[in-house]
Amino acid sequence: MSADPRRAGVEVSLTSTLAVEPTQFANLRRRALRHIGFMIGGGVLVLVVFVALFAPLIAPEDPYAQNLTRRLLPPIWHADGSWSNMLGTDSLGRDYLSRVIHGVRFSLLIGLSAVMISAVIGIFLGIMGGYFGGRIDSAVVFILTCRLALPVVVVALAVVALVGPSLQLVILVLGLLIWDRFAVVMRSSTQQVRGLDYINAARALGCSTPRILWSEILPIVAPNLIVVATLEIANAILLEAALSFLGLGVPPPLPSLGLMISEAKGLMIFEPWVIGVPGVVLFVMVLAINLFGDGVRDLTARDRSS
Amino acid sequence: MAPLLEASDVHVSYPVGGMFSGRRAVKAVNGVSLQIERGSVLGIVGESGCGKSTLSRLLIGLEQPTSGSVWVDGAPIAQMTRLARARRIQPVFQDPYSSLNPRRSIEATIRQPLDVHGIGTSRERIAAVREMMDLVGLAQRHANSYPSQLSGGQRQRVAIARALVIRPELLVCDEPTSALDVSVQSQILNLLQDLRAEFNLTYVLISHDLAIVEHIATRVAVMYTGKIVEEGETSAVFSNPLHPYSRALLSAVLTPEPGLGIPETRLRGSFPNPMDLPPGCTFHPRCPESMPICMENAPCLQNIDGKSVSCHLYAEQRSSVESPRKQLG
Repeated sequence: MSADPRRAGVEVSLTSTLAVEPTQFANLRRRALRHIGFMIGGGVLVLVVFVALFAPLIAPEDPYAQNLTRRLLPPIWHADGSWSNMLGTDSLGRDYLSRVIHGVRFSLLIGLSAVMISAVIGIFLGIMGGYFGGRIDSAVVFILTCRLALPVVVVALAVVALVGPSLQLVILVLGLLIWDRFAVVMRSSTQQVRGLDYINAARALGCSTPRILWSEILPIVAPNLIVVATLEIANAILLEAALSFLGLGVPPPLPSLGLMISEAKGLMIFEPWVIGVPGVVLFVMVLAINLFGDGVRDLTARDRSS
Repeated sequence: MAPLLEASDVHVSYPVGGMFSGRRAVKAVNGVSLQIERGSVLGIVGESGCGKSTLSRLLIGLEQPTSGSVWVDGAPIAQMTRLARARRIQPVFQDPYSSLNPRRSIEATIRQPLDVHGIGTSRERIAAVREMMDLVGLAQRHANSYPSQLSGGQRQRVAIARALVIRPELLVCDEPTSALDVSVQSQILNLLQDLRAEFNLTYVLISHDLAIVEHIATRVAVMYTGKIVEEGETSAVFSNPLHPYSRALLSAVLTPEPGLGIPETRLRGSFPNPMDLPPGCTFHPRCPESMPICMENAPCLQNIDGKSVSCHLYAEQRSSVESPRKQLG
């Protein structure tokens, strides 16, 4: 290299100062790429969401189509397995791969919908209590304590047993029961920022209270809420599986992972894959969501400290 | 012409105490009356806890007076809408590290008041933001930066630009430089001076730094336990403080020479508990010149040589000043 080293140094310093300007997003992306849990969780999650979105196109067969002539066919890794039913069939001769794919779809649907309901409730209560304090806060804390005194699974079981199982009811009951973490996180984060001067500045600017809550406080605490949301989605999916396993979740013809595990429990000893396949899928999905949530927490926490 | 801002007998008190200790009130502002003329700079000085920050929060609408009222340009502030008040009075806060929303870019921060008040089209708003950034000495390349990428002085410039972009008449600066490095303080003060001339602004400057107040303020009010004890032209108050508390406060300024030690203020005791203020003149337990009457009667503000002083020491002077007027009238 014949280049003058001093000139090269000048160029390097010039480009580095130029590169410093648009840092925030690039910085975050670089750290995200280095976070192994976030990348694994995020990767599996992208796959799961893709499968859930395009389930009817991906699934090789109709998940409801029964064929009693081919009951309990073994999966592909088994000696008698065949490519026509890669994960075999269940006790009613339905293609297991198609049922797992649609089961993932229902699990995500239930998880997302229930968390959406609980997020609205929890964020509303938390921001009210945290921002206004005083009696409103006492009321919020009282409601929260009442909610924490209720055992989720028992209450959900009782309500579903009383009304009769359906997809909508499961979503509604879970949504109305798991908002506590949203409320706690929202309340404490709001308390942290409400006394800061930029909130005072917004009030002195003439911003209305709803505007302050919406455009000053919510964006600040949003990263915490994303973490809570991911953990709660995993929680809701597991709760739905538990309810379905107990026979009080989604009603039978629907392909739910919990229901599949429940239906397979009698066959566990001689056909272990019938219970293993939905169990592993459920485990991997929930693990991926949790890894992703932990990753978001790590990334945003470091973002704030910088 | 009515003064730009007028407060008469304003009180602010907070209820404290819980279920078992009984509710009592802390009087943060205890009967403040003042007038601020257009174009003037009123410096409010006093030690921590004397109510100067509560007074500033009152002016920018973050507190409501428990009694008394504040007028802006002859109109009572209690009847103004939130937006109308904001158009006339804007704050500059002490700590620029907490007064800017960390998730909002500099341009968005300065544009926010225009958005809230619906001023101009979006293109005009951007032009106004650019102009304001020039006026406060911020480089245009910072428009898309975030507060965490700026220094303390730059952040305070952003805060000033945000306050001035809707062209208020009164700027309430609560310790605008005390969170900044010494080298940056003077830059921000000079900026405030320049902007005052540029926009014909009126300032309320709250500070514990007497040098800053002497440098900028046209009038000074000295506060103690929520009351104004002395008020007048800056030069008159600084050259000849009348109230014993003002004298002690001014004599407490540290000199730059080392080795002189801490100045002697001749004050006894310490700042009283605001929940349990002494009777009479609240300053009498500490006052080196207290008299028997100070323990019984609270003094009123009276006019002496163009200054207002609240002290029994000058009660006789008042009667001697007033009696010739009575004879004339």
